[in-house]
Amino acid sequence: MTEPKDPVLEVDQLSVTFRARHGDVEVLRDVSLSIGPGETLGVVGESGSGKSVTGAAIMGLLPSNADVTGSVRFLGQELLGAPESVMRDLRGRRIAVVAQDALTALNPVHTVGSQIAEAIKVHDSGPTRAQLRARAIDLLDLVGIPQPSARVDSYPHEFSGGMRQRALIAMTVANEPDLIIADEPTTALDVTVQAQVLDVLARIQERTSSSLMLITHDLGVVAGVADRVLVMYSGSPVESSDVDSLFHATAHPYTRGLLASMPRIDSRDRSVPLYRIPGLQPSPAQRPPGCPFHPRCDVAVVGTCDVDLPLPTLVGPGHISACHLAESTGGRP
Amino acid sequence: MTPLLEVRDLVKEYPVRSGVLRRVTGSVKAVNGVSFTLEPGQTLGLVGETGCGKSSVGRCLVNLAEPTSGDVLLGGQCLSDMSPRELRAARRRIQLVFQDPYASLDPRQSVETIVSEPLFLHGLAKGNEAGRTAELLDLVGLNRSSLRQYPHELSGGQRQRVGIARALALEPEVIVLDEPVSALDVSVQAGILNLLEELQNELGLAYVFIAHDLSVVRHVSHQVAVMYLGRIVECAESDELYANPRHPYTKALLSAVPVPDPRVERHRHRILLEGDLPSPLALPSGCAFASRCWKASDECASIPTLTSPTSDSLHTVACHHPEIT
Repeated sequence: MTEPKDPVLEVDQLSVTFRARHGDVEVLRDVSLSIGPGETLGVVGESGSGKSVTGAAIMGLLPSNADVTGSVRFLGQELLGAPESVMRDLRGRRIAVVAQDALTALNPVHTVGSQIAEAIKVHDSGPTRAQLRARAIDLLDLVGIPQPSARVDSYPHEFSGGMRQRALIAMTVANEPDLIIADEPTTALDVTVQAQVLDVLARIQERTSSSLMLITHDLGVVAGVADRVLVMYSGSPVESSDVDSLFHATAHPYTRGLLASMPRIDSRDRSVPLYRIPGLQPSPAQRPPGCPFHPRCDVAVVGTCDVDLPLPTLVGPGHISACHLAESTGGRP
Repeated sequence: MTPLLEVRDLVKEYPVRSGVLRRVTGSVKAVNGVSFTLEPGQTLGLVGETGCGKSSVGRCLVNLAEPTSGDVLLGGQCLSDMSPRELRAARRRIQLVFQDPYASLDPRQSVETIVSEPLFLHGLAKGNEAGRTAELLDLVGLNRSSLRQYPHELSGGQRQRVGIARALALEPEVIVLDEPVSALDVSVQAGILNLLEELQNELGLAYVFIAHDLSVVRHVSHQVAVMYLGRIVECAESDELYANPRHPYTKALLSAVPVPDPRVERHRHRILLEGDLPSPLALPSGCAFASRCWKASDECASIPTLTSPTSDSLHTVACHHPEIT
């Protein structure tokens, strides 16, 4: 066990460049984050912001044409450059991933129970078949699958979408990992099913005190689940803080724009149209000079924002904004 | 007064085939007795989860699917009674915008060809097709330089604008929008929602807005109908429905939608539904929601629910035990 205050995951200046035929593309630039024990970090951004690449880079699951620099420390151990045997031992046991698409993540020709059992067996050859089966049933029960002792012998196609996602979570947490990385775990699901899945994740976290990195495009989900939030834009983190400050003391113009562009279920003011962020997020191959957000920003300053890349600035306790206009409170972020 | 669009007891069944001979062995009732009306300049939001039949309703409205029974009336005239010539004229008045603008635009046609095609098909703006096409692009906020572009050169939001321009070409009175923003990022979605609102105010369009996102539906709709397994279980004026949901399903659905504000989220109570949807192949004789409802009694399982008005006569609900407000 580590000291309670030591982070489970510490990422420092993580950058990823894909080598491609038409030249190199820097898809991730200087991502730094940390997740404490039992803490939930929401990583938010629109399509192409680099949030999924961040998750894959931490797990060491990027293709071979990716150059990764920086540092990823898991419980104090450096993962970048670690031998594959070390990574294989960590993956699925200490760090686990919940994929977005449960139908493709599950093997259609094996029963759900045998797939959960396999996840345990890979890391621990001790338990007998009967013990593995009992453990699989227990896990299916934990994620709220009705009649788990019968369902353990079902095939993935016999499950509904929400049940598949829960079965996948059961497999993910089978070895009680220290860190769960969930990449858009509820995106393909209906809201009532999303509520069930988020509830399951919260209950599991309570029981195993795992840390959770929740990658999502939905600020609503983040507001309900996360302790801290990291907002990504065009491969860089633009703002990070505790969840309350992010929503109530928003510092970065992009985060402000995102929040203002969301219709809300709890109110409707017909006199004000939704805020629309002009333009589009640039692809990493065509990032503008200076701040990547400046062409769409309504407060951008000519001569500064279009020239220099803004550095992360501490704007409040534990609250960082990468904006030239951020008022620094002093101290080092 | 005749409403602009009226749907009466619409039923749409799809045959289920099985075996080597593909014999029809049963049917799925995708839409099971849906009725509503729509007035000019108004938006009806049709919400529900996957498989509730909302898209099937949309397809019946524009005659892409033939209703099994029931009527769709446009300006008091029933679509199924129309001659082919009348139907062609009626099609001009009601148009559809699809969810995935990439799949619904021909990749080999330029934007100009896509948007002007309906003009040629219906013989509109004769001699001035190019001028009208350019106007349509202005109307949806696209640059005229896009005329020569192909769908793959456009962003998702721009493609959806092309889809809207194509629907507007025939100067329809009603547009059926089937999940028009669900494939888009929020910052792009806001632009499309604002555009739809502007077009409605400018042209007096009526919308049937089909979506699963309840926040978006609240934003655009004047009236909202909630569907569950082929039926409208609750319908009301938008603010009333969101403030005072009467059907337990509506209540559960609204409680499940996250609000982008952690302080609000901390005090919200989520109703988690247990159990699964009954198979649409064998719908229960009583209320279809009874198997997942925490208020269900014996009568719910056996006696069908009827749509009845509440204290607010525009607010209807199909439930044996509606919430009391």
